[in-house]
Amino acid sequence: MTRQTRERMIEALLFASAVTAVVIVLLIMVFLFKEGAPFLIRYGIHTFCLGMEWNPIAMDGEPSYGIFPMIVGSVYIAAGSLVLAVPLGLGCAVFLVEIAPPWAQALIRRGIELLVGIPSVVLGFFGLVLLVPLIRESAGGFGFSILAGSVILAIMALPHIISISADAITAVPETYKQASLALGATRWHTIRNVILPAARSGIAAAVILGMGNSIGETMAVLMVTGNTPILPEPLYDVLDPVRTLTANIVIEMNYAAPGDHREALFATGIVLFVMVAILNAISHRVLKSRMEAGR
Amino acid sequence: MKKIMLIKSLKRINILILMLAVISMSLLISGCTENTDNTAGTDNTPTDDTLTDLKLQIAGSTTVLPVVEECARVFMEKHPGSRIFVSGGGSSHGVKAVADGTVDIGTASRDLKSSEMDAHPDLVAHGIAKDGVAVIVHPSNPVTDLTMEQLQGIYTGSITNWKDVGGTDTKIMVVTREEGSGTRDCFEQAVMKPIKAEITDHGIIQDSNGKTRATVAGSAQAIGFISLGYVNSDVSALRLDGIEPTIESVMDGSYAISRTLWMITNGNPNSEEQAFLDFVLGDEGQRIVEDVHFIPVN
Repeated sequence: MTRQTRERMIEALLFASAVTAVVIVLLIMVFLFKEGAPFLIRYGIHTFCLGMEWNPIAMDGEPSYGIFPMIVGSVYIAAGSLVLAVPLGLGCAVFLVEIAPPWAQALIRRGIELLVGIPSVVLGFFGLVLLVPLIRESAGGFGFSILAGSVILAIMALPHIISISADAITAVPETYKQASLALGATRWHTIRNVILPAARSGIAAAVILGMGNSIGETMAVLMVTGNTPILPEPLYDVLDPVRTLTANIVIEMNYAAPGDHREALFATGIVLFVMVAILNAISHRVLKSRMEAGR
Repeated sequence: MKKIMLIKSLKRINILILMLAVISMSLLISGCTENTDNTAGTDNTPTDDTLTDLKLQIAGSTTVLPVVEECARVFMEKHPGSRIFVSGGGSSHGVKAVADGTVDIGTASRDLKSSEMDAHPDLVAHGIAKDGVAVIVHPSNPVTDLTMEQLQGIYTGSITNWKDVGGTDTKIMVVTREEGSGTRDCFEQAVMKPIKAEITDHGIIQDSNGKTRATVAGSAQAIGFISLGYVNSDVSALRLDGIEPTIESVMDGSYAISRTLWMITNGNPNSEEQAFLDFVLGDEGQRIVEDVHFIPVN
């Protein structure tokens, strides 16, 4: 075998493995849309996404498939988790990159890695037996709540937010920092007025990716949010239970009879897919603009 | 440096895509299991009348699962060489799978629906056990007895405070099961159907008997319903119209919320299916039914 043919073969092999990922994603998309899209069109995207009532097995009269409360639930919980995780994660990232001595850096990095390793079901169980009763006793309500879901998701989002923002902060050119310090600014001034603004697009990407992550998370959330398919009342009550899009699929897929109910769950998957895809696209855009700005 | 950073960020995006892929995959898989054509065990002509070649596929209700699993284990021990594959999936899946020929025996924890009977008139259901659905509250709750009207009031959402049914002045936390669950169906048939009402949307939804029990055991304000076999000392089962949910009261029909657990065959059972059914309905099988806290029919 000549060197050239070997080279070609390896190239072809690498190309095939690169294409596999794309093909898998495409196949899944095709399947998802094949199963869910006919229902979406038949039932009406509008009535499905903005419908307020989810009652797939009606005792009397027509079943209804409205997932608006679940879209709200997903967004609510994801947003709540970011409110908790972003300040904490950002603080941690700044400390990690700018302040921590090497031994503390190593320790914190190990800790973050461990946090990533905790299976989400374990976190959910922790939430069910500890967090839910804690919220019930200290804050009121039933404990199964947006708050509980947000706290659990914040714990899960924290490592991702820390590492992406730490990357962004590390990427700020050393010269900026030195210039600022040379001008007599304090360390905190430098962090707040030079480093964080310079890293802001990377941090924004971290937040958006974290949001996508949170919206897609399932098992842990399912165990602590109560899964009630209605809007919180009043709308800002974070102690009310909600159901997320992911939970809707997982809870009912086991039993859903073939037909409208099952297709409605696939359609829920499509809505979820589109939401995450949009968030992905936005974060791409943010990253790209940063790259161009960096040139 | 920028490049490295970008690659790292891209990695995260990949994680996201992967995550989505996993969700879709699980959808794909759950879709596939129901659409798969006969792959095994639907051969309707047993080649040998000894039971050593017996091969059966059983799927369906998660409520019936412990009975079937244990019966299959003992059966396979008694007849070495025989193989019985048992899986869950829910009652609706059990009915569909046996009608499709994906499995030999489907199991269901609810009666066949008229729509299912119409679509698959050949299905034959064999009652293998009975079960009661107990209404449970936290052991500290002073309420020990509810009337059917009160229970209906609580589950439609018109009664929202324990003091209205003789308890303390606290809000009632209604715990219910997900749409499609056999336990929920049984409860709906007995409690909600007579007044043609839906279970309130405001309840907490848990997706198994175990989680419902854990939720009620962990909250003094909660009320829930679980299969009688799952009742233990963590929760207290309420009397309904003065009748305690027990094996006896379910058997004689005086306790209102009960159901039959079914094994379903496509047409009359063939000799392999009959052999297993005979085992389940025989002394040993019915003892297993009792062991896993259901109520024997024979």
